Amino acid sequence: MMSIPRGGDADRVQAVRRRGSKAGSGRPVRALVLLAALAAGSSARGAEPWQKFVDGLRDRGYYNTALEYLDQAEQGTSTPAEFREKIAYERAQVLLASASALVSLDERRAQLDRAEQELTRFVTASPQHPLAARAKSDRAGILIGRAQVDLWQAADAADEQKKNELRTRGRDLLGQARGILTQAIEQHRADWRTYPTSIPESDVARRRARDAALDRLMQSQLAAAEVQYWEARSYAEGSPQRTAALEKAVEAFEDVAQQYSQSLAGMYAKVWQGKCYEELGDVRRALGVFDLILAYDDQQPAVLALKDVTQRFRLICLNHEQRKDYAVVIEEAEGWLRQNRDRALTAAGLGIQWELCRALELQVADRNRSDAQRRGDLTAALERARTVSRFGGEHKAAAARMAQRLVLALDRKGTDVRDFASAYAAATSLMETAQTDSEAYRAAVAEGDDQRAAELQRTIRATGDEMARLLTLAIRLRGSSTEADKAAMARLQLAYAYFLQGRYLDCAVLAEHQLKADATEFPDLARSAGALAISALEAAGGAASEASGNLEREWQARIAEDVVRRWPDAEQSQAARMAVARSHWVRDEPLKAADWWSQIPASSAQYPAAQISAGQAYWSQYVQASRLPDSERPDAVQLRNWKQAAIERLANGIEKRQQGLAENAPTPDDLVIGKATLAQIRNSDGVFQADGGTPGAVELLTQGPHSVVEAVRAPLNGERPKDPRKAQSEHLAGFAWQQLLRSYIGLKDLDAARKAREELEAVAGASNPAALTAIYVEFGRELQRELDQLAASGEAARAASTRRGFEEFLSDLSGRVDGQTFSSLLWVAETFAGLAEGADDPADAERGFAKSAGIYQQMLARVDEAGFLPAPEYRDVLKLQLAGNLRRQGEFSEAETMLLGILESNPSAPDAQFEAARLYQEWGASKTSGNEDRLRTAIVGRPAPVEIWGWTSTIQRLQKQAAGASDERLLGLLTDARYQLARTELALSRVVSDDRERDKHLALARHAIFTFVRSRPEIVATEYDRFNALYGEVQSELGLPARALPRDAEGLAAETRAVSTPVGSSSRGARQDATVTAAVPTRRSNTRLALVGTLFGVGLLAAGGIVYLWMRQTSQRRRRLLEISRGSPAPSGRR
Amino acid sequence: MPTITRGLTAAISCARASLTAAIGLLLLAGPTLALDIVYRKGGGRTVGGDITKVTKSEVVVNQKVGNREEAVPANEISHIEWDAEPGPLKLARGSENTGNLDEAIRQYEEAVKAAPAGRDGLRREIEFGLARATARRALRSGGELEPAVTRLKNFINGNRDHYRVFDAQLLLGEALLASEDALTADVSFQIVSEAPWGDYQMAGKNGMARSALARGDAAAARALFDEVAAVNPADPAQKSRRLEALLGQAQCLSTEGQADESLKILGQVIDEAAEADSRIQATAYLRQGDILRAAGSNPKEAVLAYLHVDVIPDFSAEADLHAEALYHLAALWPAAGEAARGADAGARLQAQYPQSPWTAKLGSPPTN
Repeated sequence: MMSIPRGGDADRVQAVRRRGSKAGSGRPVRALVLLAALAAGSSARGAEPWQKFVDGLRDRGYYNTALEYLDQAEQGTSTPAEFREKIAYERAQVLLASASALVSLDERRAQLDRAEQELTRFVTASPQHPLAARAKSDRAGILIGRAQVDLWQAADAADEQKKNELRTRGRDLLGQARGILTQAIEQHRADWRTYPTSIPESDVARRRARDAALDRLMQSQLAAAEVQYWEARSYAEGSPQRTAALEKAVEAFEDVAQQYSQSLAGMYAKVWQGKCYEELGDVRRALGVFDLILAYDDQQPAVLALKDVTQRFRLICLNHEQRKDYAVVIEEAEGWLRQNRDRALTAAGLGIQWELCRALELQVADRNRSDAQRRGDLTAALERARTVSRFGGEHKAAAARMAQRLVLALDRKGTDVRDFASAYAAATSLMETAQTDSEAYRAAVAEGDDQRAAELQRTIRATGDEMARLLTLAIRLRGSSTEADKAAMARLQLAYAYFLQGRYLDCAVLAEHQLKADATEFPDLARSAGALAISALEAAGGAASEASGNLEREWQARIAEDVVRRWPDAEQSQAARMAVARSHWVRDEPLKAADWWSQIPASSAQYPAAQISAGQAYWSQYVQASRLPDSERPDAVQLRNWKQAAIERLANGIEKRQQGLAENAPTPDDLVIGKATLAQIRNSDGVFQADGGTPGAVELLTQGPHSVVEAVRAPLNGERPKDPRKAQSEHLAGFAWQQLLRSYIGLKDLDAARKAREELEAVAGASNPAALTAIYVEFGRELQRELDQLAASGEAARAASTRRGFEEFLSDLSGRVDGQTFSSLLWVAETFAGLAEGADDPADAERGFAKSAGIYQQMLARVDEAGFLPAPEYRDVLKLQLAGNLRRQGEFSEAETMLLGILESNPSAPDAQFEAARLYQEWGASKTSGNEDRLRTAIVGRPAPVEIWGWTSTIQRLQKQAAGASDERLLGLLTDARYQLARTELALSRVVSDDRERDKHLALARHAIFTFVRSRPEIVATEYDRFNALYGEVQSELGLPARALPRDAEGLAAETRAVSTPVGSSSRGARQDATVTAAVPTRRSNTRLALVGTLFGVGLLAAGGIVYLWMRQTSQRRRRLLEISRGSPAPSGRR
Repeated sequence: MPTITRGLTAAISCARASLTAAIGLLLLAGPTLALDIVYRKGGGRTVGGDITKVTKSEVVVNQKVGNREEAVPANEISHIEWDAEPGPLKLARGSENTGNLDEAIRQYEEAVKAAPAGRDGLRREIEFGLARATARRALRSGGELEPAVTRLKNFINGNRDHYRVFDAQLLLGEALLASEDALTADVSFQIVSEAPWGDYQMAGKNGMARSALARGDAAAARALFDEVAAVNPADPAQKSRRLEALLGQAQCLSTEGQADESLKILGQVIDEAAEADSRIQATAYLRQGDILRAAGSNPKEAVLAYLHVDVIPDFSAEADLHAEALYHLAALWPAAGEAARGADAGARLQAQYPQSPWTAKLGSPPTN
C-alpha cells in the first residue's frame, strides 16, 4: 500500500511533512509521538522498557522474537496496563513490518490477514485509545495491501473466471478500505485542528504531536486517493469503468497535491497522478510530471524512494507503445542499477529491472539489429528476468514466464548440436562475430561513446556465454576421430570464451595449460595461448586490489618468461614483454617496466612504442629518485645514468616512429608523448634550442613534420577527447604548452613566452579560473622539481643560473603594464614566492618574497577596477597572500595588522588562523622584544581582541575532522600543525628564563614530535626527515646525544626509556642564544607546495600535469585503453 | 562560517579549501576572566571565583562578585575548571567523557607538562584526571591494572585532604578488586564508607560487600548489601547506591542457589531504576540472563534478557556490558534456533569491541 509506510516497500512512501520531519519511514516519528504522549503522565521511573524493547526488536528485524515478547507481555502479570492495552496494536505493527519482507504473495496475504485481526481486536477492545484512529488507518492499509495482491494475481491469471473473482474481491476490499479512510480522515482532521496554529518552539513535545497529527491526516488522504487508483485496476484494461475510475483518481491526487504542494505527500500525489495519466494513455503528460520530480535534488531517503518509484513509472512510459524508446529504457535502467545497487531489490528496484527486461525483449523486434545483438539482448533479458522472478512481488509471475519464453527463444537459434564438428563450427562462427564486436567496442571506447560500448559489451559477453557452452559441449563430444589440432583449437577458443565472459583466472589457467601442452606439436597455437593468458592476467590484475594483484603479476611474469624463453623472436613474445612491462608500470615499478620494454627487439613492430615507453619509465625513475631525501637518494652518477637512458630511448623511439611516417599522416599519440617528454628533459638540461645536432625543446615541440603543438590543437568541434593519452586531450595539450612556455622563459623570449602562456590558458579554458590557477601552480611545482633535480644531480651552478633566469623573466614580465590580468599577475606573484620558498640562500628568499609581496600590493591597488577580481572574496585572498609574504620578509607588525583585519571579518577561516599562528611563531622566534608572549600566542592562541586559535586549537579541530576520515589533505595539514607546534615549543624553550620552564617546553616539543609518530601508521620519508631534524635540535638543547627519531610506537617507548629526563633534572649543554632567527623553510620541508599539491588533486591533472603522472592511475578504463593501444586480443568483459 | 578563500587561489595559500570543507566547528572561546569555576553534578549551579581552600569534604570559593565565600561539598562537585588551565586539560575531559580513554590519558599527560608552576590546585586536578582515566581504561580492558593502582595510590598519598580523595579511593577499590586484591580493596572502601555523605557511605559499603564476596565471605557481603538496601534514599545518588546494593543482594542469592529470589530482586532493580541509571538496569538484565542461562531450560528467556542490552540504545551504549551481552547472544541464539543471529552477534562483537576480553573468549564455551 502506497501511503501507509511499511519498512522495505518502496511503493509505500511515507508522506512526511518535509519541514522539520525526519526522512524515511514514519514509524520512528510515530513512536516518538507515542512515547511523548505516554511520558506526559508517567513518572521518571524506569521499569521494563517495553516499548523501547519492542521497537528495538522490530527495527533489528527480529520479528518472531518481537512477537514472542509481546505474547509474554500479554500473558504476564507484571505488564503495566498502559502497555498491555496496546499489545495487539504492537503485534499488528510487527506483522505489517514482517509482511513486506515476505517473498511469496500468499504468505504476505496471510500475514496481512493476521495483522488486520490484531488491529480489529485492538480497536474493538480500546476504541478510545489514542492509537485507535491510527489503527483504523493501518487497517485500511492492510485492506489495500490485500487488494493489491488480489489484483496482481488477477493480472496473471489465465482463467477469466478466476480473474474476475480476484478483481471483485479486490474491489470489495478497497470499498471497505475507503469506508475506514473516510472516517479516519475526519478523525485525523479533527485531531489536527485541536492544535493551535502557533506553538512556541520551546514546546517541543506539542509541536511534534501536531506534526504527527498532520502526518496522519496527509497519509489518510493519500491512501484514499490510492484506493481510487487501485479500484481502477480492478476493472479490465480499456473498459469504461477503468477509465472513469482513473479520472476520479486523477482528481483525488490533484486535491492532495494542491493541499500539500510543499511536502513529500504532495510530490507523492503528483507522481501517482502521472501514473494515472500514463494508464489513461496520456504518456507525454505523464512524462512531464515524472521529469519534474526526477529533477528534484534531494538526497533524503524518503525522497530517493519516491524518485525510484518515479523512475520506474518513467520507464513504463518509455516502453509504452506510443514511445518504444527501448534503448533509452535500457540505458537509464542500467545506469540506475549501477548507481543504486543497494536499492536494486526494493519493489521499485525490481520494477526498474522488470522494465529493463521488457525493453531488452521488445528491442529484439528491431530489424536493424544483428543476430548477435539480438542474442545479446535476449540473454541479458533472461538473466534479469530470472532475478526478478526470484524476488517475488508484483512481477514475479510475469518474469518467470518471460524467462521460460527466452530460454526457448535462445534455444531456437540453432545451437542444438550433437557432434564435435557442429559445435566447433558454431563456436568458431561466434568467435568471428566476437572479434568484430571487439573492434567495434574498442572504437566506441576511444570515441567516448559509452552507451554503444556498454551495448557491445553486453553482446560480447552473451557471445562468450554461448561460445563457452558450445565449446564445452564440443570438447565433451570429441571422439577418437577428432583431429588433434581442432581439439586443441577448441580448448584455446574455450579459454577465449572465458575471457569474453570476464572469467580471467579461468582463462589464464586453461590458456597456460595450452601453452605447455601444445608447445611442441602446435607452437602457433601455444604462443597464442600464452598471449591470451598474459592478457587475461593483465585484466585480472587490473581488477584486483593492490595486495591481491601480486598473484596475477607474478603469474603473468612467469608465463611471459616462458613464452620469451621458448620463442624469443616471436611477435607474441613481444606482446608478452609489453604486457609485463605495463603491469610493472601500473604498479609504480618504472625500472622493471623499462627493463621489459627495452627487451623488445628493433625488428618488432612494437619497437618504437616500446622505446618511447622505456624512455618515459627511466625518466620517471629519475624524477622520483631525485626527490628522495638525501639519506635515501641514489648517488648523482646513478641519477645521471637513468636520465641518459631516458634520453637515448626517447630519441630512438621518436626517430623510429617517424621513419616511414608520411608528412601529412596524422601524428601518432605516442610520438607526441615521446617528443613532449624529451622536450621536458631538454628544458631541465637548459637545452632550449638546438645545440649542434641535438634538437632543443623548442624544436621538439614546434618543428614539423608532426609538430607537437600542432598535434595538440583542439579538434574543429572544440571537444577535446577525455582519454589523457590522446594528443588533443587537455592533459597532453596542457603539458606540451607548459613545456614550451618553460623553453621560452629559458630563452628570455618574452613575446614568445606570452603567446605560449596564452595558448596554455586557452587549453584550460578562460572560463575555468580554478583549472587555470592549477596550471600555474603546477608550473611552479615543475620549476621547483627541476631545481631540486639539478641540485640532486650535483648541478648546483645550473640550478642557480636557472633560478636567476626565471627571476629575470618574471621581473621583466611583472614590469609590463599591458595585458596584465588577475591570473597573469597571480602567476608571477606565486612563482616568485615559489622560488623564494625553495631558495637556500636567505637573500634569494627575501628578494623573492619581496617581489611577490610587491605584485600582491599591485593587485590590491587594482581591486576596485571593474572586472579585475573574479569575485569580491578575492580581496581577502590577496590580503592573506600578502600577509604571508610580509611575514616571510620579517615585516611582522604589518603582517599582523593585515591578518587581524582579515580575521575580524572571518574569525573561523582556517587558512587565516594557520597563517596567524605562523606569524606569531616566527615573530616570537625573531630578534625582537615580546617574544615569549608571541610564542605562547602561537601555541595556545588568545581570545581577544581578535580570536587566534593557536596551534593547539588548530590541531584539535583538525584531529576531530580527521578522525575516521582518510583524507590525506587533512592529515597533511595536521602533520604540519604538529610540526609547527613542536618548533614553537622549542623556540619558547629558548626564550624563557626559568630552567624548569625551559625543560617543560622542550618536553612539550618532544611530545608533539612523538605524537606525530604515534598518529601516523606509515610515515612518508619527507615528513620523517623534518621531524627527525627537529628532534635532533630538541635533544641538542637538552644536552642529550643525538638519536634518530623512532618510527613507531614501540621505538618511542624504547626511546623514552633510554633518554628519560624528568623535568628539571636534565643536564645541560651550553644554552643557545635566546633570540634565534626564524627558521627558513628548508628545501625539503616545502609546506606551501606540499599543501598546494594536496589541495588540488583533480586540478593538477586538469592543468596538464607531467604526463607520466597520469599513467599512475589504475582505473579500469585506463587499463582498457592500454589494451587497445597496445593491441591486446580483446577488450575486457567485466561481470 | 565562510572562509576567505575560494577555488581559484585556494590552492595557493596554506590550509585552504580542505580545511574549509573539513572544519565546520567553532569551539567556545576560553573564559576571558581569571576565574576558577566549580561545576556541580547533575548540572547544578556553578560557582566561580578564587578557590581559597580545598579539603576532602569541601571546596571554598571566594566569589569576586559580592566578595563572599561559598563552600561546595565535595560530593556535589563534578569538576573544577581552573583559571588559565592548559588546553590539553579541557581536551582530556572531553575525551574522557566520550569514552576515548587512550586519548584522554595522553592529553592529561600533556596537561601535566603544560601546567604552570606554582598552581598546585590545577596540578592536583590534572593528576586526579590522569589517575582516573588510567583506572577506567584498565577496568574496561582488564589489563594494566597495576600501573593504574600505583597512580591512584600516589594521588591519594599526596592528596589526603583533597576533594577528590574519596573518588580516588573508590576507584582504587575497584581496581584492586579487579586485580583480585580484595583485602586491600576493602581498606579503600572502608575509608569511603566513613565519608561525610550518605551516598559515599553507601558506595563504600557496597564496595566492602563486593570485597567480602570476592574473599568468599558471602555472609559478610550479604549483611552489608542488606544494610545499604535498607536505607531510605534521600536523593537520586543514594537511590542509585541502594539499587547497586540490591544488585549485590541478587548476586549473593544467585551464588547461594536461590535463583528465583535473585530474579525477583533483579526485577525490582529494573522496576525502580531511573532512566539515568541505564548502567544499573543493563547490569540487572545481564545478571538475569546469567541466571536464566545457567538454568538451561529455556535459552530463549536468557536470550531475551541479554537482548535488552543489545537492542535498547541506552543500554548498548555501555560498551563493556554490551560486549558481554553479545558474547552470550553469540552462544545462545543457535540454541534458540537462530544460528544466523548468533553468528551476527559474534561478528558484531569482534567488529565493535576487538579489544574486549569477551571477544578474546569467543570460541570458548561461556562460563558462569
